[in-house]
Amino acid sequence: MKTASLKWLYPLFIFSIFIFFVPTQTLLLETIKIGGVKPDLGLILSYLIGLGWGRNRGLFWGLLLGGFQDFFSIGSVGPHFLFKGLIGFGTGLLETFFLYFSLQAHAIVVFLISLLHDLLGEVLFRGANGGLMGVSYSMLGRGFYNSSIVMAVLFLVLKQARLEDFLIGKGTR
Amino acid sequence: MFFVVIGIYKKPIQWVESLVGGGIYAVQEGTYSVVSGVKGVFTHYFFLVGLSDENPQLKKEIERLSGEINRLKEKEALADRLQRMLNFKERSPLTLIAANVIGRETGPWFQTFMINKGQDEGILVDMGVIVPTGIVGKVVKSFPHNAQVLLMTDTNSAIAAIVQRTREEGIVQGMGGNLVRLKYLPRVAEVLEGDILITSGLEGSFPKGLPMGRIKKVEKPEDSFFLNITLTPEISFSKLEEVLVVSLKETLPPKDADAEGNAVPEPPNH
Repeated sequence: MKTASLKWLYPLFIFSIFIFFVPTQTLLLETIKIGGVKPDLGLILSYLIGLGWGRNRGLFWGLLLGGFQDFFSIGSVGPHFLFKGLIGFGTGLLETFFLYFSLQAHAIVVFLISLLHDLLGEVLFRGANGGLMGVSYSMLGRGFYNSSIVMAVLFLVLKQARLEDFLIGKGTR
Repeated sequence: MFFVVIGIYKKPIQWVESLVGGGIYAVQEGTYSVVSGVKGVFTHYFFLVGLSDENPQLKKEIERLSGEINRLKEKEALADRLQRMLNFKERSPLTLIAANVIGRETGPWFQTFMINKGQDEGILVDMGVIVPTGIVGKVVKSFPHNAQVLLMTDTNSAIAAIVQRTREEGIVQGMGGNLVRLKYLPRVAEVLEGDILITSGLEGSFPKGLPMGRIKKVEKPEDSFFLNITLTPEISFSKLEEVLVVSLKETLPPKDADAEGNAVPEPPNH
């Protein structure tokens, strides 16, 4: 698959994010909850965008998706915004390193990112209320869920093209 | 005369007749069986050809009817829920605003949901949200046409409560998941597992006497002045589809409550 042939995806992606991100996260993913745990689409997309389109777009989309999540959440604007931005930027920064990772290695990285993300949130939002419970089953479940989805997406992408071809923003970054 | 002659001559050839007739009969019967069998095969074949044409149509019809049954079941469940809400609303002296749940929390850290009514419909921050079987939470954000509700199971939620039997007061705080705890009840408090908790009405979001849940576990830690009390709310928060928002204008106890504000809880079938 040629790099240029995927460029049309970008505006479509932007449009889809604006329209579907919040309904998908708040409604659609509710229907695929397992044991009360649903995946974090913001985290998944931030990781994939950082991996696919580099640090600048990773940062931009991470901040945007996190901002959306913060806006439609009751917490102050900031945590999702910051964490997702960092995930997008960090993944983009380590993109060439991640390029040689197997699917399982990506799954482990996403699992650990998800766990850290949830733990930080736990400390921020529950620690103050004395409700800090440490690593919970739901965190582990969410980590597993997020990593499985990332692995599935990467598998589908890699089935179609090499990861280098997935990096469609190379010339424009 | 002719018949007499025939009759005389017939007797000796009867055995020939029965022999030939028996043989023919056997052949006849065999042929009949074969013909019937072949006919049956053809009949079945054509019948099956007809069936194979009919089968997709019937499958489609079954699918359509299954969909129709599901739709009707859904409508029945909706009508049932709305009827219960309406009954509750009519009996209650409170100003209640019915709303649909249109979305859940975006992240993993809070337990909230979104409703389809907002400032334009009179929904304000801090209004209580209930269902006929108990309280759900409070409005924490209000937009023109929608609002966000914090569930009582969230760790950031705190609601003043009374133990219905002993009248002891405490604060109900969420613990995440589907658990809630009752805080600040002294060690000497005589609460038992199974006691019902009701709202105290002190904080203004809820009237006095709305059911909050039952005490599930009571622990007396050695190193604390207070009891550790865990509750089980009688609501399945993840299955809520319609809720009632309590307007802050009126905070009278519900009609079902007795003189002291004790609620008469409805069967937990939400």
